[in-house]
Parts: sequence; structure tokens; C-alpha cells
Amino acid sequence: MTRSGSVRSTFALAAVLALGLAAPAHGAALDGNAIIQKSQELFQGKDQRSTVTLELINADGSTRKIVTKRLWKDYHGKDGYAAKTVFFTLFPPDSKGVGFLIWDTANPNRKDELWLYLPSLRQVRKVSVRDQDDAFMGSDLTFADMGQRLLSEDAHTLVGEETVDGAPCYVIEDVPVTESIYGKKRLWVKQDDFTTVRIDYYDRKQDLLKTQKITWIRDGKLRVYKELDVRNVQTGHRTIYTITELETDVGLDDRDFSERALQRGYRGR
Amino acid sequence: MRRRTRAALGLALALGAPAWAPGGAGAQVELTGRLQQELAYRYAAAPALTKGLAFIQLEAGAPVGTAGRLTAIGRAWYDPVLDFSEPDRINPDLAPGDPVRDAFHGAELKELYLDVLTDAVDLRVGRQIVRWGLLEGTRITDRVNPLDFREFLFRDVEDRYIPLWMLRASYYPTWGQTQVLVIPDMTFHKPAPAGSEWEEFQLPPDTRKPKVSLKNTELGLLLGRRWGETAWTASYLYTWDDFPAAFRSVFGVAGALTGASFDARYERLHIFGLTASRSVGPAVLNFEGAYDHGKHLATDTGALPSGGNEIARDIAHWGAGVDANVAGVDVSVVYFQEQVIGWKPYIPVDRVERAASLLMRESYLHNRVDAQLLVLYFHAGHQYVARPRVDWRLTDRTKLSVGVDLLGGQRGSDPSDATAVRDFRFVGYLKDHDRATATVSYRF
Repeated sequence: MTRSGSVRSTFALAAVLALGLAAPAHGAALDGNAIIQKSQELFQGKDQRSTVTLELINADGSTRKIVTKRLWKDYHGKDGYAAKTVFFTLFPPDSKGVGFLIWDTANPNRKDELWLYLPSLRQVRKVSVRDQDDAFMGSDLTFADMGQRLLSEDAHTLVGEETVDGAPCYVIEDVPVTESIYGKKRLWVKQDDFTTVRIDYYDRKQDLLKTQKITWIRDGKLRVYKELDVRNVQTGHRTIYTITELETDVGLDDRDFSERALQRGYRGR
Repeated sequence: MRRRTRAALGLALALGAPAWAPGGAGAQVELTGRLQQELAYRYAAAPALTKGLAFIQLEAGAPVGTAGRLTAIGRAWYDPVLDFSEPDRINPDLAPGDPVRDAFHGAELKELYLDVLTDAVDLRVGRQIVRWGLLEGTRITDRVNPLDFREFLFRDVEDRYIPLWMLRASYYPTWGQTQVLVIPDMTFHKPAPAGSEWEEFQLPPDTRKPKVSLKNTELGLLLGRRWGETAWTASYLYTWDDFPAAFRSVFGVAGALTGASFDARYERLHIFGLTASRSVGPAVLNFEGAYDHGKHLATDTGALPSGGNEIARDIAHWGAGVDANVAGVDVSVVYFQEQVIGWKPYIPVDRVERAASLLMRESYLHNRVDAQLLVLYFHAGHQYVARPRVDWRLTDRTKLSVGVDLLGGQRGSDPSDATAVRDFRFVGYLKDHDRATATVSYRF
């Protein structure tokens, strides 16, 4: 699952680079800001097509599954958009055919645009922007978690180094400077390629709320999520996102991110 | 189109399609469907179990060549409550001798269409539902398909909208969208069956329906374009008014009313429509308007110098709505009204009719449970419909829905009372039909 940002990283990174503020060279002493910045600069391809499966597991062990086909394209600010994403639901059967289109704006002063296609209504409808703290598809991650906050929205502090699954990692503590539902986050970022492999989320009382483990697809310089395993330690609920059948740079264009595409449904494009 | 021709065409497409598909007959046919059981219990006046509908719906889809896909949706149903209950238990307003034509079983082909999708044009030909407009339920520009009033307003779109045989061609140039509809199907609004729970009106028995012909074909054109952040559509529908105009002759002796005869027929209607949609902050603002030219309205007896009982008037409809997400709750508020242009006191409908709706929806327990509340309010007679409902996904395939349908307002006159048409209230007349509902569905 890409961390395509809305408001966010593309615009901020472009500004930073334009001002000529180069990140410290790899191997030299890095601070929290620099590490997080590098973790947000990962190359995800020009576009992606993949199958995303969400497994929602209750504390009692009962599970629900959602399978979607996902198309994503990085717009690099073209026409005012950072990225566009479309989901086509394949499972469960009562949601089959439901399509969800998101246009992430590159302008921090402009809201994203969302459209929903419901086969039961036979119509595409523009929908209001979700509250960013709402659960994404009923999972343990919120819409805000799925995107990226601007670098300046948190204070990033390097608090140590640890080994995760045999890989040396920087440990960063993020404390929000702007509005957030979290009191803080703790991130483990691999030292060799700056992929984030674990995030602990704390609520406003500083109690541990949920933990997230991330595995990556690494192909050349490409870095894309392979699996996210999120556990809410307070409720016992768990979500596993799995990305399969990933293809990058397949040549997606504006037609794939249109109301027409939503209504046509996923047809193997 | 004649029924036999339609059936033959449908059968030919259904049988022929698998053979056209790569890989041979039936190789890529995708079959899905659902089993559904619906119950309804009227708890207001004359409490009774009024529905026990069970049905199986199948949807088959198969590719046709490289750019086509054939879809067929059919249903078979049976209602044991209607089968075993006396008609006056289902409809307590029945008088002895009133006709009852409410079937308790049936099978139907709901939709059958062929999609041909190319780079620039999307074609869909066959029996289908086409939705226009933005404001759900207002029927301002969304009047391509007629409605089935079998269960008042309470069925989903797939049941409430009657599919029509038509050609829909959508062209997507770089500047926007163009959609053309060609509709030879002469199907109109379908009242609830005689003697059924939701019966309010019936068509006069000799209602003249236009014949299927090129001259009588309905046509639609929609143009869509985005300017800045606003999405616009303009539409024109050359259609038949789905409500027949009733030319009524009233006769009597020495001033005493002894009878009336009706010459009911359908009239042509021109509908010019406009919609606009725009995001404002996190919310979406929608506007929709339509202008009807050629509507025929009944008049009071003896009001017209000509002695006739109907008059042609234009009608303007418009509505505005806001969709927002407030503290995690999806909220949609709509206001709409319609106005008779050149209204006269002898036209027994209100000059201006106003209505509003509120829809709220929220999910709980990681989207296992959805709660929804829909409220419709009609200013005339202070009529309202309220529908709270909870949907619970028991498993990936099984869903349970429970809810209540509440109707209220002034009851008004009996719809069969020709001398009191002015006081008829579409919702209020059914105010004693409050009911609790439960539905279980299994999808495969």
C-alpha cells in the first residue's frame, strides 16, 4: 500500500529541494528530521496496479476479508494533483463492484476529491472528504495513517538504535506539532534503505494504542509495501493488509482515474 | 418492442453469447446472485404480518469478443404471507367486492444488456436502468426510467426503477461527456397492484398507451463538463409523461352528478435539466434543476370555458443539497421544490410543492454494522417518511437488516374520490401503515 500523500510530502519535498537543503550524506550523523525525510522519499514507481487484501480480525478470532484491485499513479503536482488512486472492490459479494476514486491534491489549502460508485444505485456520486481520523475501510489504520503528514507537522527526534529482525534501525520519536489523534509515534527505520519497518502509535494519554509491522517489496530502487500488520492493543482487533500481483510502470493514464472508469468497473486495465 | 420480440432477442443473446466468448461456450460465464428473505409487520392500525417475500436473484455475465460483455439479471420469488393471508388482512382498506390482483409469486428478467466498451465510446443496449441527476430520490432530472410503486417508495433502486429496453451511448471527448439515449420501450409508472397493501391509485382501464414506433420513441441527451472545480451537466429528455393525463367527462342530470368517464392517455413531455456539483472545503454542494414543457394537469369540473378537464402547464423543479462528513457521520441534506408555471386556482395541485430530506449514516465495529436514518418531509399536509435502519454483516456473505418505516401527516382524501383530488396526500394517505422490517440476504 503506497503512502501516497495528499496535502503533503510531494509538495513539501519539492520545496525543500528547491531551497537546496540537501539531506546529510548516508553514513554521516543523521538527525530525526533527516531520517524521516529520507523515509518519505522512497521510490514507488510512476504508477502501480495491485491486488490489496484486507483481513480484519476481531479479538474473538472471527475474520472478515476485503479484496480490492488498486490502481495508483504519481502525478508529481501535474494539474494540481499529487497522486490519484482508484479501488475496485472484488470481495465481499455485497460490495463487489463498489469503486472508490481519490484525487490527492498537491495544494495544502485544497481538499482531496473523492467519488464513489455503488452498483446498487447505478450511479457515481461525489462524496465529502472523510474525517482523516476515520478508519480506512473499517481497518485499524485511519485515512491519516494511510497518507503522510508534512515533515513540519511533527517534531522528529532520534532516540536510539535497535535491531529489528536482524536489521539495524534508527528509532525515531514523533510528537505532533499540529492537530493529531495521537500523543506520539515511535518509528523504526532501517539504516540501509530508510524503509520504516515498525510503528508504535500512542494515544493522547501516552498509552500504547496500536503497533504496526511493515514488510516491503524491494526491487532495484523500488520500495513498496508488501504487508502491513496492525494490532490495536487496546481492543484486540487486528488488520493485515497484503499487497499482491504488484505491477509498476504499467502506463496508467487519466482515463483510469475518472468517473467513467469507476462506472465501467475493473476490466483488467 | 413486442414482448415476443424482446423475449426472442434476449434468448438469442443469452444463448449466443457464450459461443462468442473466447474459449468456447460457457467458458467464461460468471454467475453470482443472492438469496433473500424479507419480512414486514405492520404494527399501526390493523396489525398484521404483511410480507414474507423470499427470492433468488441470479446475475450472469460473460465476455463477448474483446470489447463486449453481456449481463443478465433475473429473479424468481414467492411470498407465503400473501399466499396464505386474506386480502383484507394485508390491506385493511379493502371493501367487499374490491378487485385484488396482488400476485404472490413470479419470475422476471430484470435486466439484460450488452456492453461494448471502446476507447472513446461506451455502448449499452438492452433492458437497463439509467440514472441521471445528483439529488437522490428527488426525480428532478432523474426521470429516464419509470417507477414501480408496488411497495410505495421502499424498494431499492433495482426494484423501484423499471428497466427499459434502450440504447445508451456515452461518448467521451477530451472536453467532457456526451450521452445519448434511444428508448423505444413504452413502459410507464406501475401502480401498486389492486388490493395490495400500498395501493393508492389505479390507471383507468382504457388508458391509451402509445404504440412502439419510431415516432413514439423517447430520446435523451446529456452533456457533461468540468469547469474549474465544478462539474456541470445539461440534459434534454423528450419523453412521455409517466403519469397519464386523464381527460375526464363528468355528467349528470339536473345538476346531480351521476358519473364520469375518463379518456386517459399519455402525453409527450420535454424535460430540460441542469446539474452542478462542487466541493467546498470538505463538503460537496449539489444543485439540480429541470423545466418540464407539456405537462397536462387536471382541472376542476366546469372550470374551463371549453368544458374540458385538463390543461397544459409548464413546471419548474429545482433542488440543492449538501453532503458532508460530520464527526464521522455521513450527512446529506436536500431541499427541493416544484412550481406550476401559470398556476390557476382551478388546478387541484399546489402551486408550489416543497420538500426536504435528511440522510445520516455511520459505521461501527470496523464496518460490520451500518446505521442509517432517512427522513423525508413534504410541506403540503406536513407529511413525512422516516426510515431508521441497521445493517449487520454477519459474515462475508450474509447480512441482516432491521428497520422501521414510519409514515405521517394529514391523511387527506381517498385517491378514488374524483371530487376531492385537491386533498389527496401521497404519503399521508398511508399513515397507518407504519411497519417493522427485517431482511436476511446471502450472496454467492
